[in-house]
Amino acid sequence: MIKKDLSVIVVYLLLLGTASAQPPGQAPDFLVPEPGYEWSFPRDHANHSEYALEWWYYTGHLLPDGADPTVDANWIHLQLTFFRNAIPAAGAGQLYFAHLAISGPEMPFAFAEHIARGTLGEAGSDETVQHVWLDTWRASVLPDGSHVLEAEAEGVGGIRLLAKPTLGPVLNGDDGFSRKGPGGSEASYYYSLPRMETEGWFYPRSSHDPRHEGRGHAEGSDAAPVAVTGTLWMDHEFGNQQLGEGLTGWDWWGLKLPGGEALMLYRIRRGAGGFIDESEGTFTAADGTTVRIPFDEVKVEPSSEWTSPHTGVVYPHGWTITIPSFVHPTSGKSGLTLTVTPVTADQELRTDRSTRVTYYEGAVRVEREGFDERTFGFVELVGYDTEQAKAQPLDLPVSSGSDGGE
Amino acid sequence: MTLTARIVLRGWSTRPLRTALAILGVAVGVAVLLAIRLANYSAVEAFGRTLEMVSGRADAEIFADGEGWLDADLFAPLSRMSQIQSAAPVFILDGRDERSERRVRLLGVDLATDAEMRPWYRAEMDDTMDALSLFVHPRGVLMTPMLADELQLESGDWFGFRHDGVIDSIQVIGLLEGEDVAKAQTRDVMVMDLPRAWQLADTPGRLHRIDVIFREGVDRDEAIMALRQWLGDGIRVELSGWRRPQAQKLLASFQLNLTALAFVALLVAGFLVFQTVNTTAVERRKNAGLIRSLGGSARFVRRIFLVEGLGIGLIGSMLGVGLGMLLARGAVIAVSQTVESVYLLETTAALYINWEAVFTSFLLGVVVSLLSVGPVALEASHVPPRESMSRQVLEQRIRVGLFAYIGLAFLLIGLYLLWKPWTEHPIVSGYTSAALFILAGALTTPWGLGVAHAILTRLLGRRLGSFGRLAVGVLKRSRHRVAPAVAALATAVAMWLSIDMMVGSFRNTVETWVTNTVTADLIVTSGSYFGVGKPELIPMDAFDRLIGAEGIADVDHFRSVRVPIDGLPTVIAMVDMESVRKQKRLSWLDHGTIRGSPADPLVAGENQVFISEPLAFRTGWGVGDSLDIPTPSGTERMRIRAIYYDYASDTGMILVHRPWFVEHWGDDRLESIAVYLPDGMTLSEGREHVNAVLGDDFEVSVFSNRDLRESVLQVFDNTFAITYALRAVAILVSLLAVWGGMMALVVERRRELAILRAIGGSEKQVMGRIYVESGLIGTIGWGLGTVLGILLSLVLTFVVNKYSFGWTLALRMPWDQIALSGVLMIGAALLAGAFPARDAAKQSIAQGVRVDAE
Repeated sequence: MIKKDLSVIVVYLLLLGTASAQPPGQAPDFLVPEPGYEWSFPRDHANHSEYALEWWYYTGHLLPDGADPTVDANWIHLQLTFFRNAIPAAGAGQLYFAHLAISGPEMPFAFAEHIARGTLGEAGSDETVQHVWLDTWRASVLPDGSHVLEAEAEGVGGIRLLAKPTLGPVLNGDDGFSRKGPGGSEASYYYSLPRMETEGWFYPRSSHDPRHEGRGHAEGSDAAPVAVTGTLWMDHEFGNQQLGEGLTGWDWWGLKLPGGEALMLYRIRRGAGGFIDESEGTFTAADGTTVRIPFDEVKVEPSSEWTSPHTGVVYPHGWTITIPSFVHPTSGKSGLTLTVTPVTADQELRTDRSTRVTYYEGAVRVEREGFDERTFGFVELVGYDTEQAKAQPLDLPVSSGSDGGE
Repeated sequence: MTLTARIVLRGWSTRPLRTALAILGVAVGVAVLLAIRLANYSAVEAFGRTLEMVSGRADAEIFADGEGWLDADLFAPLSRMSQIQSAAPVFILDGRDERSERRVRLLGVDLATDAEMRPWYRAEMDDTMDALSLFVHPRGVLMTPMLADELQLESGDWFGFRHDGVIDSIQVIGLLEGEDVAKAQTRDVMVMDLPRAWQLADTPGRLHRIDVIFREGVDRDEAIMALRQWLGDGIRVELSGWRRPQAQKLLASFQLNLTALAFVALLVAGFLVFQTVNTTAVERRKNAGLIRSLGGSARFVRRIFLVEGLGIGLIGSMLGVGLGMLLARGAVIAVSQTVESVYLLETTAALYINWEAVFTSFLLGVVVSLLSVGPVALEASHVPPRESMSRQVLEQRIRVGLFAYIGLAFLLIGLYLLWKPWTEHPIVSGYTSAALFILAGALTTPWGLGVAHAILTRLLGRRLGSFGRLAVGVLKRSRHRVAPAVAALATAVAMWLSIDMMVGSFRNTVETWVTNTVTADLIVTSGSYFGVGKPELIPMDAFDRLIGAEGIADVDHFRSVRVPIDGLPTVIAMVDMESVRKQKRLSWLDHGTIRGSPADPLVAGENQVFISEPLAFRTGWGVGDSLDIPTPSGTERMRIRAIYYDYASDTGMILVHRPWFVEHWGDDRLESIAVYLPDGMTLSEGREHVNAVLGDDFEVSVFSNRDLRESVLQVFDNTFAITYALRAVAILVSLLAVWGGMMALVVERRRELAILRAIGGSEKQVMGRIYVESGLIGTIGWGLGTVLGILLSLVLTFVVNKYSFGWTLALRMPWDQIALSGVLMIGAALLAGAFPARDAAKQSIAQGVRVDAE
């Protein structure tokens, strides 16, 4: 007999994917990504229920109106993510997770997580236009193509933003077919909107400890909203399985570059060391021209380490990224060197109540050699928690509600 | 080292035993206060958890008023409401086990998110199942172990589930754990993921209930009003079990009583410290005379006393803090091990160190020690040196009579406050009278000893013999030394007994609450049970058949309707008043002054009703008031005959007699029938019997209630284990106090005993005398303590609880504890006398006589 704490039921869908955990029975067959997908926007912003996994990932940087943009401490950094996991049985619905993380002026990094089932409409994602929601959090695309983001959590803060894409959609990998492992089926469809001009309202978090009081406010925040402008980056990915066997995690960089350009890089690490050959990146020029960058042409030098005081997990902290073979698609200049520095050390998410993955999702400062303009980006580091990787995969907690903020 | 410190230390080293006893006295006082305060927190925590386990975590329940189900479309907007932290959908499918025909309830819940709502999500699952099976297995359920037992199923087994005329094969994929105490709704159930349950029943989109937890800080009543307004007519929103005022009151009352205990402990602790330090200081008085005759100033003498008091206070308090923490931890661990092993609770194990409590206990020890030397220091520095060297004078100075008068005055004021408490501040009032009683006890002790002496000599007269007279005489002659020991003993006994009475009475009240919440042995219903939707009704024939049947002790029925009275939706319940009259199952808050059962006029057909206490409280209606009750056949004016206690429902209820209801509603069908079994009949026998009596003529199901009630009480008992542990701490402290006091007394009297030996008393006679004295002191202290203890309990019950909650605890006299405390206390007194007595009897006479001159 295995004892299972059902307050920690059980769902290891995110890392293992559903295909491997699929029991016999009336499991519906999910599609496996293959090259040659015919993209169609705005339809493809929406949900793809024929695939088991899907997520919408927004990261960005906001500046309160009137604040000096050259002062780093004035910026607000945010991450809002929606995950969808199909349960492989007819009518069993989905599991939706959402994470919201914010750091900013006098607001140390804080995050909240949310889970819901979707069988009763409390969470869901539309099949024709992008509209994904989980209780009061949502990310929707309006007919004019702009994205509306709304999310708020006690102790974290809130956003109500309108973001207009000015670059992309950028199809990553082979025309949006992005390999995540050596096997043919280990892939996802993946595109990015690397630059979205954003305006809206930021709701500062209440100053008191959220664990002890004051959840009685209609929208949770007591402080007055602040008008903000900034840029967001959106990634949308769907597929059937995240990581292949023997793979422990990934590093991902989504970096805005001076002159309205952008660079996305990811590498999937092997447990034995090194990373898979399929790791790659996409450079997007200001006019939308893209360049695929195989990761073996990229040199990544970590500049230091950071040990999480919460979990003891050690993460690399800051990088020098050089791509000597890079040739700019429009100017023809070669070489690309970037210095990437986290804006603050502690940007670790411990999502015990939803995806049960401890990961680092942090805002970074980007300095590009030869340019004065400094830009922002985000980095995601997954799978550094070796204890977690060893943990019994079924021992995952699932419960509802928000307030994971700390 | 200063001269002051030298003198103090010298005194300590020449009389180590006495000094140790003084320090021990302070330590014990500080320890008891700290231990009780520290353990309180854990006790309240455990109690709250227990309440939660009994009735679930939800704050409120939403269900349909009429048709029995809610539209699932309600759920999403509901879960987005700002007041709601989480919401959980519940779908219910009733059916039967195909083989045993046993009624089984299937709960369809969202297994991904439901864990927050229900305390029982821990399952032992079959090896072949992984957790995903919960979502994808088309016919997999988790089952309570009790149900699995009854159906003789194990994890992995398949069985036939008959519902709505079809039979579905269902597999038990796991057993729910740690829920054996969970509320009635979750006891006899199996759980399935909601979409699967909908598929099984083929009724997608239907919910029977939505449980919600509000965000912290949200006012529950306001939130419920908002929900009601938003949901509109036809949907009911009610506070769920443990959020109901009655349960909350229970929790608050428990908390208050523990606080009151801490207060009693504070008094006792303060008193013990004063006692020991003061006694020691009196001893040292002679030194003061010596120092002054050698030219020491009055200020110098005062300083010596204060330094000594401070020294004893500091050392004693430090030891006390350590001892208190040990005691509290011991109590908490002992209790949590039981609770944890049985109920998988984890919070009690951690002793919450409340530094404020540590600090105040420490401070109490030091401050009271200093205060205790104050009067002696002052007196010793003023009296002429020669006089201070003589003990006689001091004894004369104790103004026995004056003390007694003051004590008596305190007693009277205390009694007055008990009789007519200051109702606006019942707690202040209660604490004041408690403090007055304890002070009165201490102040009247010397006088009381004189009285005891007079009574004993008069009663026994010559039969006492010379040694007997000497022994009894100690009460009068040495009362300055005996009184503190007696008073210490008395306060210790008082603390013991009042703690016990509080715990016992509180447990009684809980029992009443439980029995009132969970009544009868078996409940016969059709369709939905436990307040989910409107159940189908049972024909009155079923009731008639049961009431006439053999082998059934008693039967009650229940049927209710909701009508607006004064604009408030009010429940009218039809009951059998003849049964009420016969069974006396209702207890009355107010039934006027008329003789006979309050049910008489109702049975006689008068237009009278009973209303429940919560309804009376809410509306201000009283006995004799008239109500206009709308009925299908017109409005009827009814007079309120009596108000009854209702621990089970806070919505308020009007009880009417069956014939009147049938006449006006034209409907005699029932919602449920409560069956009471004769003693000795088991539940399964009872259930079979009821099924046999009813035969196949009614589509009803029979639920058992008795084992639920028992398991609930058992959990409460486990929670109370911590209060029993507190009592053990109190007993231990009491014994220590008595032992210390007696030791001090006998040690001091060595010289007297030596003289007794010098004038020809035998060892045996000396020892006998000490035993008699010890026994007397023990007995008197215990007697006084019992009286004080009862007074304190009365204060706790009738002032603190009653005026804080309008809730009278059922006072229970703990005769066993009174007897036990007597045996232990007198035994301790004898034992405490024994060692020094043997010493004293055996000591060299010459040295003994000189002992005082050391």
